[in-house]
Amino acid sequence: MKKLAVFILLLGLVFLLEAGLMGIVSFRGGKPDFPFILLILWAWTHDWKEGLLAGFTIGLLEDIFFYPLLGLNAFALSLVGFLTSEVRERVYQENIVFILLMVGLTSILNGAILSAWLTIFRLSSSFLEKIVYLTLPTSLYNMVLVFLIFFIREVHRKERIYRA
Amino acid sequence: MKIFFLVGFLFLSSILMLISSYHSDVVVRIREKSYVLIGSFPAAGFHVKSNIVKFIEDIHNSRRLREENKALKDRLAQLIFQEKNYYQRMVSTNERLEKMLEFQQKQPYELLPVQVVAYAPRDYFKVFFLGKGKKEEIEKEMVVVNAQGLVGRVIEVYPHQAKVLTILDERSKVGVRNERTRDVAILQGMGKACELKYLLTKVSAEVEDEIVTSGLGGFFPQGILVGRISRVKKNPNRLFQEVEVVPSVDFGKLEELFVIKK
Repeated sequence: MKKLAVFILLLGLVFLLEAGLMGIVSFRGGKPDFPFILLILWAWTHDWKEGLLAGFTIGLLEDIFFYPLLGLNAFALSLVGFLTSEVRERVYQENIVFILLMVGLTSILNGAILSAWLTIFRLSSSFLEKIVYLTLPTSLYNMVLVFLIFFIREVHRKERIYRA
Repeated sequence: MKIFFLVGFLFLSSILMLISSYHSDVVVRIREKSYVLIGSFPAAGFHVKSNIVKFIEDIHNSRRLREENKALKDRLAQLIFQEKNYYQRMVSTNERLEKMLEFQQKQPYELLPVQVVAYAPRDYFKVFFLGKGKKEEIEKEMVVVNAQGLVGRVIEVYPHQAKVLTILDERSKVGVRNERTRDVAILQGMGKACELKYLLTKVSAEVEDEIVTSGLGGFFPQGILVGRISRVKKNPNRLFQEVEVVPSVDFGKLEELFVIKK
């Protein structure tokens, strides 16, 4: 129950950030995808069922809030959540390189899936342009943000160990 | 087991996509029904953004004030500086307001002034939100313009907000006319610029030709400036030429807009 409350609270926060901070934090066409980062961090610390469910929930909310099609992000993020939870069971979770690689690759996968569906449903025709000018900068941005989150967490954890 | 669940969720998502693509109003209806939640996110987000911008500006201003404080030793220089800046600001504001007033008076349509309150978080779509909605008599398919020309049209309406699809969006299609040759075509968004579709290769089109709305189709009133041709590529083996149009509106600086009332 507590976990669910935390998830809902974080969900509200990331959607607020998503809707509000975009114009300020844009970098070369890319913008950090806060709900996506929440999903990756959630899936990286939970099992595949929660990763999958979190992906579907976040995706569906993104579709309702920002997209003309229902299920578009739900599809992409369900897969991303599932894959992230699956990969973390096979690698050393605390290794920052793995999580950064995961963020980079899944960001690109997410962007590719979205662009592909948009092209299929004729809502966009520039598949490659979207990948180059939107997905790659966003992927880089997501990696930097996740690195910062892990760095802050690591500093905080070391301080606690020293105090103990 | 795992794969079964994954495939189930992916299948469910695909079904949702298919349903919402055939009934495109489903998503809009869900958004309209849950306006309290949906509308509060862009508004609250915009509020957060405004406060952060104000905070950054305050920091910047405090630095500037410290620098100016040093310069106060030279009182005369400061007075000239203030007067000059004040005068320039007044002149530029006056010019801007004059242009808006002139534009509003010049148009034969009834124009409702509106302001942009939020942009879409993802760049997949070129949309933004207006600070007025159904309660302020904004309706779907109303046309949005500013002093520079055509901006887009309203696609979703909430009680106090409305979503506008700009002409840059790839879903946007506008009936247009080349002002010089009077040839008609369809203007489609390409993300950063627009493209003229169905303009025959044999007709004349030159860089810098003005493109205006044709009024055909009934959505957009005729004669509104849309942009200028920036590139023409003709291939004699093809029926239609490739024509790129740069919009007359600067979409990076959208502030005061007008909605053309039906």
